Amino acid sequence: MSVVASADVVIVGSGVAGALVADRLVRKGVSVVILEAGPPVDRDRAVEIFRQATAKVPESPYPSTAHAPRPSVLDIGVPGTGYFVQEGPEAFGSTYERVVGGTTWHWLGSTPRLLPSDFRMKTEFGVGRDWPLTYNDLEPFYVQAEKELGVAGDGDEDQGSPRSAGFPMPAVPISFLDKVIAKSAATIGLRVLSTPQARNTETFNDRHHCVGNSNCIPICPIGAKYDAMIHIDRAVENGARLISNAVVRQVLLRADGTARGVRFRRPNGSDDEVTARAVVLAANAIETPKILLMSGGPQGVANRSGQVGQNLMDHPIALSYGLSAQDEPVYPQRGPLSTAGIESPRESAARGQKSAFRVEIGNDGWRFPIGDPTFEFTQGPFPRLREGGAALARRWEDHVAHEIRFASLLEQLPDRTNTITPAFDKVDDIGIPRPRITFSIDPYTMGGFVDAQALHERLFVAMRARERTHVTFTFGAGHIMGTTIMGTDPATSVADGFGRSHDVRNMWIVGSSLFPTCGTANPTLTLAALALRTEVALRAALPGLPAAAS
Amino acid sequence: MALHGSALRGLDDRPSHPNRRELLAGLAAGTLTVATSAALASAPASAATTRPVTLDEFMELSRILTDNEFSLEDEPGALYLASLAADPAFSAPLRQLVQDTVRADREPRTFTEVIRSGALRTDAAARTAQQILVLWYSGLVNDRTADYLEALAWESLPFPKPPSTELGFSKWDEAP
Repeated sequence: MSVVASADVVIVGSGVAGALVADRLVRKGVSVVILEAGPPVDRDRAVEIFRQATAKVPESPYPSTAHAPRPSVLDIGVPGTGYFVQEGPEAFGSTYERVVGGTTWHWLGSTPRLLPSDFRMKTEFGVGRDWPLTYNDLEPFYVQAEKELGVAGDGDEDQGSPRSAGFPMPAVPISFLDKVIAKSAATIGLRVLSTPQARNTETFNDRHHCVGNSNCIPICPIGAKYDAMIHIDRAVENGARLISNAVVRQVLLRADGTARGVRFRRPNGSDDEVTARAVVLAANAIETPKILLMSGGPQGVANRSGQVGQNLMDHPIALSYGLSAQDEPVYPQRGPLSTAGIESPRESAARGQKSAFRVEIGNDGWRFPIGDPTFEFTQGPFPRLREGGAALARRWEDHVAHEIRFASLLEQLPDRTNTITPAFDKVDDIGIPRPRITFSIDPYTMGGFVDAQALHERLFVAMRARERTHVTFTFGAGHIMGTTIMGTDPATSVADGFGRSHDVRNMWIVGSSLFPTCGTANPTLTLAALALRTEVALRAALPGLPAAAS
Repeated sequence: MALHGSALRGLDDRPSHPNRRELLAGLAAGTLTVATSAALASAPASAATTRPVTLDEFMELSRILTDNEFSLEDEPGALYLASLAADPAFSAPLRQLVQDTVRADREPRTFTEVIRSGALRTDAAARTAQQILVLWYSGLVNDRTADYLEALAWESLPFPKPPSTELGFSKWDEAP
């Protein structure tokens, strides 16, 4: 074991949060080492792997390596399989990538902001927690994050989140399907709004505009949708050192309780170290707490509160699908997978008693969650016995042309019994504990689930929709939050409002693991804004931090 | 958003499978047949229905079952044929179906004509025809992808393109 690098800042994780911090720091002359557990991804090769995959699930283009295994939706709910050690009572349904660039490779790209009230759940609704910062504190960083990610949106639409600046790009045009739904929604007093999204509508940051590859999940073939490679590549060009296939397993502490660096394991099982003046953990809301709990003594590191790895949250999805009226085809399967939604339920009057939610309108027909028509042909109902020829083709075309899908993202409250801990008794191929997860969805969230499906049904009725189905269980949204929550009280939170550990003064956490509550907005823009805010605080603190050990 | 569903279990089992180009080359050279039983191997010409189905015959049958609406490629076709021939539920009915259609004196030209000819009167024949269509539409065979971009599930739809291929900005915002 040896110290292979030393820098001002070592960043663990190369997803959007780590990438943004790295990019900003190196442009200010701060030396940075980025450690990524997984390998780099070649986009063209990944597209080919996707096309060859039998199940076009979010992970399908990306490797799950022996040294950096990752969860797959194909393993969810199958006892004894997969990367997660699922302890229930319900299966945790969200996944992530362990590759250079992180999960932005397969994210949808939607970038709504949180609402001001999302930051004050305890004060305004008597549930959850308040954030240690306000919407107004974060707003300037939302503006910066929208520029960094390249967000397209309609500044004339009131999304409930006050703006001090316009969107960097004109909105992504909403789909024909959105327009059909909007017409019916208006008859029951609901408005369909275009969804802000990190997807180019014009050339932006040297990236091409969207050309409708209709494949945001699992991979945009041309990079029109933001992914963290933009900032990783720029950070490396500006001097950051990226070490891939480096699985961080411990934060190393000095006797005075400050961090001196991190220890990582290579695919061959050998360990090395990187030392730094400051450590930034950016390894998502599963791996970040796992690293902290594998470090130090039995309680882990930065865990005075005992809440590292607790309060695991998602946006459980209420899914409904149906067919539009026979005389009103909607022609899905074209363009970005979602371009609009219904946002008013995010400000539900019943908040405090049950979950608010936002309705995402899918442009992908009934392909959710598998991503292609495999099931319709291998599990029925196509073709019927003794059905074929042009008649089969026309029936299939007619079906797809009418497919509608609603997915409402529910708000889950922080619950200390929803946990991720290292499974020291179930290790991966290089001897690192896998994530053990306990997870349940409480009545607060399920109250919103019932409301969401009732709203879906009202929409279906307004549309004269046929073959309406409301799925009776929730799906994971891929929005992994909580687990190192921030707050003002070190006794009940892990980090302060800037992501700085209460306990280890030269260690910061970035990412959605910081969220004290999760609101109903897709989390990436908020975690990006928080990361940019952290970078400013970290850089200001650097001169007062101990020098990196050589 | 990334998504999961517990209904997806079991899809990642990937049994080994012959390389598709090797398979095509074998069929073309006559070194690989789709007959599966020892009886067939020992008496290959004892009756018309025991004759192995050739790739050309299978492709012709496939075109008939799809009303000649699509351009079907030999490469995935060879994989589909091998799969059917190796499956006891389909191998004999497939030979019979070919006998009753492609090899018939009056060959039906469309799916409807196949129905009228009586070639699908048995459930075994009907299920075999159905499976042929499942293969062409799904592009999946033996838990692997034989064809994605030209799978008929996409090819038969006039308004979208297969995901990962370009539709054009912003053609999604109006009816096609």
